[in-house]
Amino acid sequence: MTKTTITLVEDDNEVRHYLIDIIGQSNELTLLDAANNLSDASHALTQHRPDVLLVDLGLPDGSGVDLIKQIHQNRLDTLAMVISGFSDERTVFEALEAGAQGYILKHDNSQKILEAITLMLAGGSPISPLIARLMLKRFTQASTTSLQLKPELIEPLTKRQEKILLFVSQGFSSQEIAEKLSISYHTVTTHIKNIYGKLQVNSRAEAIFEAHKLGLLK
Amino acid sequence: MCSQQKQIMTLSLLMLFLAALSYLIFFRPVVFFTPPANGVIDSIKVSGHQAHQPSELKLAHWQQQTLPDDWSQSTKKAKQYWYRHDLELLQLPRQTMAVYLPKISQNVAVYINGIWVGQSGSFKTPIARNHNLPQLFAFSSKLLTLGSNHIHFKVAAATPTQGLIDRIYFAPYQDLVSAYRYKKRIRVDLIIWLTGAMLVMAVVLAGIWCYRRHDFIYAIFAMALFFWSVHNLNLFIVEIPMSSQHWQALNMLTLGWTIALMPIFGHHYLGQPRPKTDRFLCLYCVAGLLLFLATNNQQLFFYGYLVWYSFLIFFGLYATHFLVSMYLRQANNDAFYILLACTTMLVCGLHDILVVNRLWSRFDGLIIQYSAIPTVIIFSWFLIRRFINSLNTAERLSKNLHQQVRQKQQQLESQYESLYLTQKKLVLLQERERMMRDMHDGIGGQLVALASFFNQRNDDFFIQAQQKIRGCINDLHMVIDSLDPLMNNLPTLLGTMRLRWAEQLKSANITLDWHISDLPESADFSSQHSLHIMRTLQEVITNAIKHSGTTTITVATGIDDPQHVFIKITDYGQGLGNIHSGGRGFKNMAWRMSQINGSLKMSSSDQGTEICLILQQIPVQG
Repeated sequence: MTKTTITLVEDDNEVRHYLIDIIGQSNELTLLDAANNLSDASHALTQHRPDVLLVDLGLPDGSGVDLIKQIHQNRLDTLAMVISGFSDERTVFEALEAGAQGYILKHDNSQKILEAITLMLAGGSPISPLIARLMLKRFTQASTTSLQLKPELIEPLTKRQEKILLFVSQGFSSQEIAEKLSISYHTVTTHIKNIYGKLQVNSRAEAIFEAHKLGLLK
Repeated sequence: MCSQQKQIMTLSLLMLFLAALSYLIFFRPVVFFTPPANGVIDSIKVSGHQAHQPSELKLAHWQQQTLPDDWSQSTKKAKQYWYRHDLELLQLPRQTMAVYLPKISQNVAVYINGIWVGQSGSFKTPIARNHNLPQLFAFSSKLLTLGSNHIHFKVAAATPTQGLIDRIYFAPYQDLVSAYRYKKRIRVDLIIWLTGAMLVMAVVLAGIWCYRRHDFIYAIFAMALFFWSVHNLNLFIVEIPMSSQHWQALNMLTLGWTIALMPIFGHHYLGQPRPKTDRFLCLYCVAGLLLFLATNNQQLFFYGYLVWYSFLIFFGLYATHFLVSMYLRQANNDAFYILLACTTMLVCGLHDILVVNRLWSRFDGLIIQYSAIPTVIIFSWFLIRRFINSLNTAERLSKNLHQQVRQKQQQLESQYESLYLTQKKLVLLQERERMMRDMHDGIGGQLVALASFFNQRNDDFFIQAQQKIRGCINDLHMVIDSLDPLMNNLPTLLGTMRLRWAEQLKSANITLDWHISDLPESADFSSQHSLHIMRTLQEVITNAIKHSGTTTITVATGIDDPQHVFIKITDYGQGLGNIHSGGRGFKNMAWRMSQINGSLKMSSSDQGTEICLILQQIPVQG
């Protein structure tokens, strides 16, 4: 069976070793690189094209968000997962906008971390109430601010997706949401994944639109 | 009465007015005074002798002539004639005597017994023109003698056809002067004042037009007034500054130009441009200049009075038709008022054209100048009204603009205020974020690294140490979360809390029954507010986990009757037992709630405990 390849980017030695150990415990994962700065990680990413990029955002020579953007710029099939030290949702949200598919908490135990990676590989996306609330705000802003001038560029949420985000923001689990809406658990997670996709599309569209406005693009 | 009926009624009244006016003009001309019965001279002797003085008339051949005498209706071929009246006096009058000539054309000199007593102007070419001015010559009664007296009148005209003398009155000065003054006031003084007013108005309107070039009607009316004023000069200027023929031509031209400009004014004023008609009228005006090329007076009178003036009748009829149709089609009252002026002018003009072409009595005099009064009043009223309306509109627009500027200024001030508040909030948010990041990167990072480190050890000491560290991390989470502005949304706050409790509840094998509904966001939900709620909830959940022995905890939210938001936490354990509401933990929670103007309610039994956090009414965020 082919193992899922991982590139780990974490500047804290303790945490990096902890995560290396956890990856080593899994029979389905294999570590390609473990970098502690942005330039090494960038090189490793383009050279080895891992299946999963586990990346810390606060690196000594830059932000992990740039690395996630690099995945899209180079059209890699790598899935990005943010390592959040402290469940810092706002920073995580920036990474999600840039194209990350999930996040893990550094202090979670090995079981939770492996579950999160498996969930992402299976097509699911973790989401917290605060991130759901940020998403709701983001989609509302996109429809009322500059993108209003170019409505065709934005991908609005469906009513169902809005409802799901609202429930998530109120602390309901995916299972509870599925029961409330009389849909399957899988449907809920697919919706959340699609919401991630729209968030990234809108974020890119907004960046292009702003660049046009500033005359950076013609 | 419908509007069309009203219009027809109004036009019928106009017709009646015109009929009455025509009757008065043609059949009942104004006489101005009742002449004294014994003073009138209506039979006189006339001679075509070209003498300068009565003393040169010894060889003159005299013929009997009745007055009035219109030379154009007789066989007179000379430009000068002498008239002689012989008077037998049985007694001499004591008072000043006078000779009154109500109408003379064009110049006269009076001699009493061969002594010159006055003349109305120069007999040199160009001869003085007095065709509209009554003449009164006063003289001392000492010039008269008992018995036979001779009064000579030397009458001269520019052409034989223009000569004319009406009945003469010989009487005491006092008996004649009032009639003379009355007639002069009406026929001369009034026209002088009217002409002066027209000239002033023409200058004012031309001035307005200079500043408002697009308002062409001011220029049109100014020109019309000017030409009419020049035409009126013929009625009171005695000594003319050019040849009689040129003066006549100018007189004809100015009347023609005035009348031609009136329909052009009507077109523009009523917003019915007729470029073709206007062009034709302008062409007519230019063609009029040919009158100056007439070789003699006869030619001038033919082309001027007959041909040129005939067009004026045609223009008047056209203008009448145009105005009537405008009035009927648009119910435009202004069209009716112009029609009133226009038809008055038409009747007076028709009278004058008949007079100058010798088709009507010349003794009535010309009257078209009087139609200037209603015309000038009506048109001036229009233009003044239009000017005032423009001023009012400008004032209104200026006022609106001022109001809009003030509104915009208020909006800007309000936006500035809002921007200031937003900036203030942004600074606060940035400061909070900085604090959150500092805590996250500093203490938080260290604690997480420590927890990760202890996670790799399995002995009891490290497990307990790790649990303590996790407690610290959770507490730090709570502080950081409370700083997040999104926590002003209570369900999100509860959802985030649930995420933090997950591990704790899982370790205790407790299921969470979650009944959270959407609640309004609060604008004044401070981070302190959030932290008090979070710590209170944490205390309630920790107590339930530690002391209740429950397997399920229910968390529910809602809004009660007086619009208070509540959070209800229920466990189904053994109740508080010895731990009662007076305990330190409860007091601490109640204090926290009081800090945010909320309250805490607790009920406990052996079936479980219910704690309700009641929050003050949360104003909806605008």
